[in-house]
Amino acid sequence: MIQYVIRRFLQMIPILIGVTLLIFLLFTFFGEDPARVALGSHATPEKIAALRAKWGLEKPLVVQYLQFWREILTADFGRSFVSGERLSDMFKEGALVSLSVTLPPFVMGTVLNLCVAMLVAWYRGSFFDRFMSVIFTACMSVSYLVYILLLQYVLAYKFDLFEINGFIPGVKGLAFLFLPWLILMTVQFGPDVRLYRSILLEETKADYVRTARAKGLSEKKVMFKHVLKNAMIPVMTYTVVEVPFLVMGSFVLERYFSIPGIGDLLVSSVNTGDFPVIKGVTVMIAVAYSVFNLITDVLYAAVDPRVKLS
Amino acid sequence: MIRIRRSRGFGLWVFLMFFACVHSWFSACSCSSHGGLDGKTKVLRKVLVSKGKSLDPHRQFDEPSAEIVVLLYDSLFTTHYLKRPIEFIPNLAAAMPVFSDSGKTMTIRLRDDVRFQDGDCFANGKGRPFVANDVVYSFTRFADPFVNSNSYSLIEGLVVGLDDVRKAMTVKGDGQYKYEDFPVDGLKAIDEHTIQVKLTRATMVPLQVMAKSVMSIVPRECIDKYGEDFQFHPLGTGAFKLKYTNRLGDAWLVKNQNYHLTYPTEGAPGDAEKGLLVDAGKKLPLVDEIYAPVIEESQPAVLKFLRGYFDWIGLDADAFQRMAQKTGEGQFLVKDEYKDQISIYAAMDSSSFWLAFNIQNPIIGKNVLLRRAIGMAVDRQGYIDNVINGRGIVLDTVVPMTIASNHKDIGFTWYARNVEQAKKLMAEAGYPDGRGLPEFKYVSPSGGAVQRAFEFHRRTLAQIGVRIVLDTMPYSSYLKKIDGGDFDITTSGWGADYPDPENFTSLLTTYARSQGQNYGAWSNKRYDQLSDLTKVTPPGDERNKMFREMAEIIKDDVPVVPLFGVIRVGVYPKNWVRNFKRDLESGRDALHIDIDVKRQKEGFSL
Repeated sequence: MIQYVIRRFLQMIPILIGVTLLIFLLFTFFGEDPARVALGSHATPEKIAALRAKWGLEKPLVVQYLQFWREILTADFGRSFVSGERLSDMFKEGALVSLSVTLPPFVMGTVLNLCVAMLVAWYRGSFFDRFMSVIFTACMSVSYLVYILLLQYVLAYKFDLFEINGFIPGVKGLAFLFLPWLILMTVQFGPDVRLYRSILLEETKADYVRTARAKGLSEKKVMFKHVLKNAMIPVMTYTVVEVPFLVMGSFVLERYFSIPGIGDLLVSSVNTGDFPVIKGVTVMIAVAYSVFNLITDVLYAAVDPRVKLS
Repeated sequence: MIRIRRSRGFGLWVFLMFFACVHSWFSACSCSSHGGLDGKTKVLRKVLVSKGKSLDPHRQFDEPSAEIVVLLYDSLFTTHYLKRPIEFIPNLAAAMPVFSDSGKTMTIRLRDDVRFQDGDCFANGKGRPFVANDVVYSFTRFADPFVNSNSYSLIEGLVVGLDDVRKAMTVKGDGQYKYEDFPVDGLKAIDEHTIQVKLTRATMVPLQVMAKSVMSIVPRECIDKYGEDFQFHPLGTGAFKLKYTNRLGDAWLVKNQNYHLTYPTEGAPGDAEKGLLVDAGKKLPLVDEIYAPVIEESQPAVLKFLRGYFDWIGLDADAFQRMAQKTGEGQFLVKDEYKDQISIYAAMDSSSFWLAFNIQNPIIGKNVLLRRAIGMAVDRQGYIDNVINGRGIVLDTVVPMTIASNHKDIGFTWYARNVEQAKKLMAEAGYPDGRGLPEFKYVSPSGGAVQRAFEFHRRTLAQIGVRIVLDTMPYSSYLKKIDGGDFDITTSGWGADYPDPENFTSLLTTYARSQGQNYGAWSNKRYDQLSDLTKVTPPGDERNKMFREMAEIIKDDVPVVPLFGVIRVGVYPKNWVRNFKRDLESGRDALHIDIDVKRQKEGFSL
């Protein structure tokens, strides 16, 4: 197992080299000039050149790329071109904020959606199953933005059940998070339940289920002891690889609720050509994605004794 | 068994992570997200529509930053809160400057009763008195290329020796130097409270720029202590001090108890009747605190305002539609359901928008009759009414109506909209009803009302047979396209750097092409000559004649079609906000507004 983990970590190095090279080349050759964007209407060739020199964009490409790697290895991505803030501070604060918005509904939603999916799978083919299928499809058809606008207006403003908008760090701010959590869980509901239901139904058709039933096990035991455990493998794959993206937050949600997370930061950085931020966030995603893929593989072995890590 | 234990461990890990996230935000802030009211403290709660780039005055040059910077810092001059048109008054200066006979030397007497606010960059944490050397230091820092890459052009070429110093700093190239090693010939502290500025030519522009937030006075000790991080520890002589901010840009400010300015004792005609002089002579600021969160989307801002959480919000197109209506040119009312409790304001802004043609384009750039036809067909009033809910005013030149020598002052009018006449011009141009004319690319940055604006232009231009297609993209890509001349038509605009018409008319000169401002790359020798002359001619009839001739050249050659100036509309509670008069020039409204805390706590009964 340890050997496997070490090997996987080593395999991450070429992946990271590929990712960094790709980002670097894309931004250098195809991206906009960040100095031009920062200067906007007041840009002159001289000013652009001076700002590029200040930001180290005039150095040879190899030097710039090596500098990028130094930043990765020291986990110090310098400062934002636009705001001058230290990226380490921005990421640390932003990631925690984004996680506080996305992680609780993700955990609660996954558990809840799995329960609902089991219930629907239990009553497969019934009116309840068909009715719920209509509900999932309807939930999936509504745009994320509509949920935000509607629930913010109806639940927060009209019925005064939640705070309309805002964010306060710490426990005091929980009241401001309830509505974003509810929205995220609502958005997650349709696609998740539909997927989990399919996975569970697929498992119920397996040979071992027929054997279990033939042995005279109750339907409850079949579902909870056998089907659920085996269904956990694809469910786990689906959920664990989502975790790195939780750190990225949700751009639209963060914008409508004025939440200082990473989502809003990343999108505004793309618009302003803030290369250090984009570099940092992309590397973070690549590393997190690789690590969580590894975690998924390790968990496979934990959940399914048939899986051997070698 | 083992598997079950691992599963529980994972659950526990997730559970702990969740609570760690909730509990472990760094600085616990005691402020509520609505600007908590205790019924005693006067808190003004306003909305910022986006995060500013920096709270360091010399590094910022964007409106959201300036909105907070003007409350934290002072410049030598400012503008009168109540009087219109704009009138400059002293701020850190004790009086308006005295100009030498040649008009090339400004002597400015400074106030001797101003101190920097207390902060840990000063010995014992006690703010020291403001002196003339602070002005020399701040103006030199304003010229530092490693600090200011945005706004130096405002004063470029105007102060003797300042450009040389900037160049010398650029050559030094590392930003690691002392300003004492770069003395500016035209900048001298005569004594502790007098400063002399030598100009390269007689002009009022430096005075106007010295009133802007980008030329605020900063304390050297704090820059030395914090370096680049000074923007996160802002400290000046301003009316407020920063108590809290976050990555989103929310700001919480507290009053400077020793602030030097007082409420004006005179106003514009009618101000006294409106109760705007009740607080005349009182020490500023009138409120104790300002709570200004960033809310980028209009729905939550409006809903929170209607809930009574804000004392002032600006209205964008969506919010305007929900809350207000236009009753006449530049006149607006709140909808009936709000009229008893909410007041509306409308203030013309010093910005201007126009359609620009790419003069390098072999068809539209080379065919003046075609451009004239378009100039005659564009429905400018229709655009204002349909695209921006009437929140604008038609401009016949590129100069906004808030600035002297606008089209009314110089007696100039643009082509009246006339589709039939435009069609005739199309035929003369060689494209009767648009036959043989290719589609033109209307390039625009994405966001806002771009689609609506494009659809409007598409419909009106189709009436004369001109077809346009929309090419929209992020702002960064838009700039690249414009720089590369990869467009046929675009909408361009400008916000005044300083209130002088030359700041707008010079945008269409040949020189402005190299400055990245004359998007269409139009060039006209006579226009350039006149532009140079307007820079050295004092305001008056002679100068107005020059502006009129420039406007005629534009009308004749149509490199651009002037569109509109923006009217900013917003709302505030009638019952508890006093002294409200939108001051877009200085942005220091918050110093003058007063709050009735008892009524504020009661809120609306909508």
